[in-house]
Amino acid sequence: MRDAGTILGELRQRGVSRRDFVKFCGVMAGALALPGRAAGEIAEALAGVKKPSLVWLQFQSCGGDTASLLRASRPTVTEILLDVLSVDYHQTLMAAAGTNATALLHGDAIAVVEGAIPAKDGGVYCMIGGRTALQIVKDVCGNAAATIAVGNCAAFGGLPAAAPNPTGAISVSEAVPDVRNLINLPQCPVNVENFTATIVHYLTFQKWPELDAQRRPLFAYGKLAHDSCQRRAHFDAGQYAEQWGDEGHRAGYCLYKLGCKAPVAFSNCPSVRWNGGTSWPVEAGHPCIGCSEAKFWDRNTPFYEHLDGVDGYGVHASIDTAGVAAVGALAAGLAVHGIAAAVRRHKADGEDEP
Amino acid sequence: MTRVVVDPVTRIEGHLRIEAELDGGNVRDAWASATMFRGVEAILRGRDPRDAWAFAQRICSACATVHAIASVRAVESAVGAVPPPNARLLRNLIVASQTIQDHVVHFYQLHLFDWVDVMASLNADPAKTASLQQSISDWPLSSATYFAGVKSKLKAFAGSRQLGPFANAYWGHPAYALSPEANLMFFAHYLEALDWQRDFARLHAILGGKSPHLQSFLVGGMATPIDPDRQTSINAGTIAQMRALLAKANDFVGRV
Repeated sequence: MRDAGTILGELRQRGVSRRDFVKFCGVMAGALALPGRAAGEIAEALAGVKKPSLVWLQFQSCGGDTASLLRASRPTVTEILLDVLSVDYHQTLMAAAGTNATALLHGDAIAVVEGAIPAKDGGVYCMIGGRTALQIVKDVCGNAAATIAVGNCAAFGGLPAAAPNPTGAISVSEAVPDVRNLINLPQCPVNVENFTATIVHYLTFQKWPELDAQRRPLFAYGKLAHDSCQRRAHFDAGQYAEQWGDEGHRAGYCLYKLGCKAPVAFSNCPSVRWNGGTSWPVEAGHPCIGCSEAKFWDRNTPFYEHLDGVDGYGVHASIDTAGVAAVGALAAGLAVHGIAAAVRRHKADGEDEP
Repeated sequence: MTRVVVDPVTRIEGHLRIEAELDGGNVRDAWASATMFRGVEAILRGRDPRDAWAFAQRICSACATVHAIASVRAVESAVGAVPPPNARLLRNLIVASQTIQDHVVHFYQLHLFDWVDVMASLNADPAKTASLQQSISDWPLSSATYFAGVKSKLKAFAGSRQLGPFANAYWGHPAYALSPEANLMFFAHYLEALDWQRDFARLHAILGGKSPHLQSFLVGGMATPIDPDRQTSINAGTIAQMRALLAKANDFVGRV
């Protein structure tokens, strides 16, 4: 067969028609925020490449990024495991165990890291096959052509690194300073759509997506969640849920006052959403906790206090107490988020202070 | 005495090492070590108790909702808060659906390869596999054509020499006791379960915004508003969606 050993060939063997394949590429173009005509380019590229090897390492994690991988819907998890990638090492999914498993560890692959790496006390807080996570990540990611840090723990240290960081947990970039082509996909856990879109971008264009200063792909982390939020119109109109289950909460008003961190979270949650586009936390009625950002377990907590109590974001006035004089200072700090405009409208409407 | 070490134990959530001392084929002594530590308890100390569930949930993503609810309940009983009846119902729905999902994933995605020799299913007769499946239940994916399809896909995969998660395993070991037909049937179920569990997770996304790590728990209640007549609440539409997902779950668990 002409396309034997390629991704299209594999998909054909599994009964996927060319037409379905092109349709799938169209969905991927959407996920990557590319114009529809890019579908043809993606299809052409994917049809010709050999399945890339993937080595998926797990350290100080809850397995959440793996659980997310299992929820993949475009392409499906079955397609990822059997057709699109050769998943050579993944402790939660592989049949082999013990030395049969660790013999499959290699750096001639795209490395994926899930979980933080403990550096304290010689790295004893995460051991696999008698080696420390630190040794393994240096070995594998030090040789890999590219490393994808999935989830906030691998990208930024995440939960294990939250104060007082009992195990000296660090991120991939801290553990392997000379790592090549690092891509950070924070979120807690990673939204698998962003992982698969990153892989498809690579397979299509033979290069990794454009990144921001924290090495996050712009197609997924280029905009504040707040700016594409379905509740944004209510924010701009000064309509807030004040209490859980109140009229505003049930009517889908803005969750800012209940603690929403979407104004400081760069993430495509509102547009891509989760679980095949079913929902995302703000849509379900709970504030965003800002899990796409470094140190969110410390900077964004308490989760149920609204943002102006958070250090480091340039917010100096309280939305609860801001008087007319304070609006100017608020505007300086937050013009980019439109918060000041909303507060002004809120005042102009003559609504009572909460 | 021989000492056997299995490290890592795979197809689990977390990190585990097993050491066993064997004497003539019998295990004389054994040691299990969980080889990863984060100190979640130490991280929680001094924090706002309303946030605790989100930290506790990250203990394990496979049983995340259970940790979250246990944490919320602990705080509620400390401060004497009683969640309203609707919140209790939502929590019960979440935990019950987690139990169903977890059992299926544990059996198929995690445990199956301890019993099922995937590569031996390449010797299966699809017609006999169909009879075996039909003798078990009236599950519709049971024709000889269906199993021949699964077998030919597996054959193509095995022939590609990129064995992925099936590499370097124990295929052909005499401890695998099932017939080639049973192996093929179970491998088909593995793939069906992989698709089903992904779909079923949408129920948790409806109730918690996302899965894994649902984000709708609150000390004192739940953050998902319920109002049958609102577009922005758990309403008649989302309830119908959940009913459909639960019916499919019932079907999968009962007939596969």
